[in-house]
Amino acid sequence: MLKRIVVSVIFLVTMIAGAQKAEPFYKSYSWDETPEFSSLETDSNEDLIAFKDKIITEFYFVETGLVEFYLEHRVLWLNSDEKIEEYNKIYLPYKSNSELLVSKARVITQDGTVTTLDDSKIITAKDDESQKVYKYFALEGIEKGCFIEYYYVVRQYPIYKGKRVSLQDNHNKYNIEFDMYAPKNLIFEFKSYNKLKDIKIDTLTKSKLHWSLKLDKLNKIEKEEESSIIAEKQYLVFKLDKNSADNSLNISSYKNRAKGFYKYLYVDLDKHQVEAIDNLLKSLKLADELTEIEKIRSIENFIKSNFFITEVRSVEYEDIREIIESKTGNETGMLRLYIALLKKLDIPFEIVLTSDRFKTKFDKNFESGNFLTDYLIYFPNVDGFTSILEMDSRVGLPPFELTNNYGLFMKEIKIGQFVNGIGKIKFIKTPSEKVTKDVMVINVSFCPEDISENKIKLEREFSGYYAGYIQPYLDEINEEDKDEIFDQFIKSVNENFEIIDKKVFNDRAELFGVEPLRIVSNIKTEELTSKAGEKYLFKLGDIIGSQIEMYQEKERLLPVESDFKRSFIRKITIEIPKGYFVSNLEDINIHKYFDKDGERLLEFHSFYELNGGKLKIDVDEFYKIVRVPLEVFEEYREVVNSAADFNKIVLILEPILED
Amino acid sequence: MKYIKIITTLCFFFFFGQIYSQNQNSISEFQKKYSASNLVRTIKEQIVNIELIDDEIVISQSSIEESIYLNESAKQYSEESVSYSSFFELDEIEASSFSFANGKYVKNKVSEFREKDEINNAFFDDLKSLNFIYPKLDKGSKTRLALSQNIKNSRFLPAFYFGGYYPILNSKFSIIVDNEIEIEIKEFNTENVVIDFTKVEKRNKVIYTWKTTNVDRIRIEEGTPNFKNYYPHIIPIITRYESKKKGIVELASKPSHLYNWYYSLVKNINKDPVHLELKGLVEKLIENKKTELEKVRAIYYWVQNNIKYIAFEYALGGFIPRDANDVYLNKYGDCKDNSSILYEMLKIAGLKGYLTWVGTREIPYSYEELPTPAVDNHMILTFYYEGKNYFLDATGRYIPLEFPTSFIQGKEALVGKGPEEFEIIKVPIINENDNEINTYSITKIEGDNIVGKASKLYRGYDKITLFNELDSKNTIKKLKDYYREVLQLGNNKFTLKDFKEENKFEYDKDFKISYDFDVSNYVIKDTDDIYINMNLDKRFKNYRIDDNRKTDIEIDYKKTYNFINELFIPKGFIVDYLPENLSIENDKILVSISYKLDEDKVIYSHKISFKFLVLTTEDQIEYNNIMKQVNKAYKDIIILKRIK
Repeated sequence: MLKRIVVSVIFLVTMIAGAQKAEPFYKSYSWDETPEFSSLETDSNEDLIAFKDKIITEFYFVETGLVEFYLEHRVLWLNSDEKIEEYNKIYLPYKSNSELLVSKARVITQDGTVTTLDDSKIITAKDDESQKVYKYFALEGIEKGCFIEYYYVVRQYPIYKGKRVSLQDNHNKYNIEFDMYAPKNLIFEFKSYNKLKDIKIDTLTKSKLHWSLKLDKLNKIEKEEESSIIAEKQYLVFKLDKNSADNSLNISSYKNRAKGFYKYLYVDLDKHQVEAIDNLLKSLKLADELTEIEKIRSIENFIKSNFFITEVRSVEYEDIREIIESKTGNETGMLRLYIALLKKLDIPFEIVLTSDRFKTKFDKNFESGNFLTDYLIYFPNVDGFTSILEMDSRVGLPPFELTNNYGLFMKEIKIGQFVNGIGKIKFIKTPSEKVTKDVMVINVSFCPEDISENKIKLEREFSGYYAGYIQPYLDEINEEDKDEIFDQFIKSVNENFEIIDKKVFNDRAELFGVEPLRIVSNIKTEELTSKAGEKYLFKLGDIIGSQIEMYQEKERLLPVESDFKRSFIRKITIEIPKGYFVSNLEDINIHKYFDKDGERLLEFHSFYELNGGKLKIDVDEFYKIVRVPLEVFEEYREVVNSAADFNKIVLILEPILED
Repeated sequence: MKYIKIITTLCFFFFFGQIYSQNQNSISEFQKKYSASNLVRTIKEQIVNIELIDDEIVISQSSIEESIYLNESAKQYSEESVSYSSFFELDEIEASSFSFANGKYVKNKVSEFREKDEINNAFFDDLKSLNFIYPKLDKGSKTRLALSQNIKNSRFLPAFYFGGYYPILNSKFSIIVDNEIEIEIKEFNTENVVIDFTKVEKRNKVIYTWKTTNVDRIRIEEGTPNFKNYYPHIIPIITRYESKKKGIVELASKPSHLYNWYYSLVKNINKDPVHLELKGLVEKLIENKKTELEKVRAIYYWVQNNIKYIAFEYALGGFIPRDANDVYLNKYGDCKDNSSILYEMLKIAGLKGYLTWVGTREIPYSYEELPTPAVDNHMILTFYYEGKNYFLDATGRYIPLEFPTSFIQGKEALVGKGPEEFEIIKVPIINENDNEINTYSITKIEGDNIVGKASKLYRGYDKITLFNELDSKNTIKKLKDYYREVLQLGNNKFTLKDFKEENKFEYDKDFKISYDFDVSNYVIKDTDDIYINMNLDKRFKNYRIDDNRKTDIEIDYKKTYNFINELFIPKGFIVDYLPENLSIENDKILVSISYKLDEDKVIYSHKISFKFLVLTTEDQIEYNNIMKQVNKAYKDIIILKRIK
């Protein structure tokens, strides 16, 4: 969404006018007329290998200003039906203001037959809503074991204030090259991530600046359970730092960006807009005695339940008055609306820009626009974040992928008569495990007439992110569907439970993030107890529902990246049938944990207490960290799998022998 | 054209009056009455105008849809999209929302419409959509959408639905047709709907009108067969017309008319000389193949393996196969292209295949009742051999010659045999015993664990499904993760050790996988007793159908599972208890569970067959009763006692 911000490039142009210009790289770029791939060493164990992976990007002045010429050139060896089906259609990344300058594609079979794609077969599709244009084609003559080669050059709007270039992928690559050219006055900075080699400046090229990174081979990276593979790939980031022609420095700095965002979002209101805001606040009827957090919640609930957020990019959805009138806005428009409302109400806030930690971790030491992809609003007085876009986000519960990450926090400052935006890098904490809870309070009794039948009272509470899957949407679901959803929640423990009755509490969207969603039900079932001669077997573990078992046969390579901190609290009371006792109580005791610096970070603990015929069992489980380093992966796995162990516990009920 | 404009305007005017007459009270009434619905369609009207102009059929239609939104989900309906293509041109559109404020509705007219090329349907498509946003939608709001369209082909008159996913309060469907044009109306699922039908003749036109009121929503759940089986609808067909120049022109009164049109679209394909490479390929493929069937098999499997599916839907191009030479060189195509290359390759081999039109199982109509392109959506190639039909559908992979694709089982196939010559035959339904997964395990107790060897055999559609999934399991890790799931026995403490695959990706042989495994903590022990559940394959535990289900359920194919588990009795123990055997069969399901003591082993055998493609709601009651007994039996354990 940030690309919508119109940045002026004129200052870059003025200084260079008149200088002697070198041709852009692509004018002399071509592939080999006769491809020669027969010498390449393929490996039949792999289903896809890249034998060439070249990206060239060049920033270049034309009459209208700065443009970017972008090239991708690939040679891929396809060795499976799946990969053929994935790569026989190529969609070029393209925007409405881009121009496709060159596009060439060919297929080279094992016996050397070359089929070159005819230009007329490139298809164009337009989407006026997203203002996207698609250019795509199908490659002809692909068979297993063949090579496909394609390259294209687009002329596009230059993104120079920070861009990520991913080099590593889920297949092996050879001959990886990244080259960047820029006019001699534009000095870029680069940073490599995840052990990628550093890029070097090529001092031999004189007419322009040239940076180059060449790798002979890059091994594939494979997804593992609960890992953030995109963020772990080797990639580099570049940004424009200096323009030596006018001595401007820190061009991509967050200080400058904050000013830009400020201008873009904190718009001056005309009298119609002021009136619209006033009317909106009137209809909101915020009582004066409300605390700050109550006010924040009221506004957020009101907007989220009354406004429709569209992805359509059009000024009508960015103007505060029109948004209030049509109850429809896009991200930019909704941000402007929130800002205007919060300012009017004198509620302190900061606009935060950060990145999705599953894709790119925010680097607090390298100021670059590619880390500024997602908005949050931060309320310093209540120390809580929210996202305006997401229904399942409320103050205190920002989208979890934007937490446990740094971000650029921006706020308005007044210096004398002047107002402006300033930015500061701060950390976005993940809500504590006490916020996201799954609580079960279970009472089990056995039918005296037939011990293999159980009656269960199940009270279940979801809060935090667990409630986010359903609670914020409840107002928008009709009664019949709601009823079905709650049944499914109960049956998620065991599909075959017979629900006698159920009662639901806090089933309103406005209570999301405030009160837990609570479902109390009475259940009858023959699923849990079975007769074994004189004895009965009671599947204790089954009443907490099935639990994930984490397998790890190969050595784990990537750290665990969990969605959120969380805790599970289960309190089980079992009324042991008269005349019976449990002969294997000790099986209940399981305790696995991980401590660091004296703090318990991960734990699974189940234990019991026997009080006459009442067996009380506590099963506590929590995860206080979202990123688990590789060295403690086994400890993490043990805690996770302890729940799966508990799930297998069967209690043996033996008759008490009378003397 | 003028005529239709007037009608459209009249309708606009008429409904303009209507929309203001409803008030907020009716919303709460609707909410009460239609608690399972987010909206009520208050008006649904369509007028189709069929005229003969300059001796050509000209069709235009106008429609109006009005809805009222009953809860907070209203804003989720803000974005609306109208699609059109070269067959259905969009002429005019007007969209408005009406918000309720201060006791009356206020109109908000949509002013921005945005065009989009739809690329998700097929790779290359002429489908476009016009997208817009209804402003200010809220609980109690209304929307109205008025369209006029031109239908460019007289075979594509769309259906009109009186009922659907939402309640429809007032439907009206009119056809105004010139006397020279004859139409026929086909009704589907209208048994429980009261339709007020009128036919009025006026000058040289006939006006047909159908009206219904208060048709409640018709529920569709997961696995319900296609809505066309349930929603009441009518499909008008232009059967023939009287042309000044050509006399009576037959369009669609019987299947032969449809076939003749289809034939006219395919008769000119494959006229160029066969590409020499293609010829050479076929010769190589059939080399040493003794029977015709073996030749067809070799060709069929080559096409499945080598021609990748890419769909093209562009105007009539959606009906005309491309030349075999092009398909061969491109190595991709859609169903028509695959049929074309199969046809040509068979021809090179001196064999005769027949281009065949077929509707997939979503389409419930027969060629006799609906001889229009709405009856089918797929093309295959039929080959006759020794009194048997083979249905070649090369859009997928791993489909043996003897199996039709599962999604056309039981459907009518229109087999083209030449000019004016065709046959309609039924595609067979594959028997449940030809789609099997057989699991066999030998296990022993080691401490609290069980360890064992097992094998799983896949036949028929189950094998095809498995192979298609295995296609993407192209690393050891992905493969093992996948097998750990599908081969799991006992519970998720299952560890998969060595495994061996036999006949992987073979079209005509059963796939077998043998493996070693263990399950930790599976055995329950007491001082003198061992309790163990012999049913290690728990996949059917949750096969009960929800008691609240209201609709029929459809599965892809009939199937059978067999599971045998042999357990060695540990030394020093004897069998103290074996559960009762179970055996139930009706015409939809068969289940048997048995326990047998065989020297030092207990043998558990379980078979379950699903002998249906569709299970009606009535069948589901009996089915659930059976599954309840099965679940109970799954719980049973055997008891081994220490010999004292």
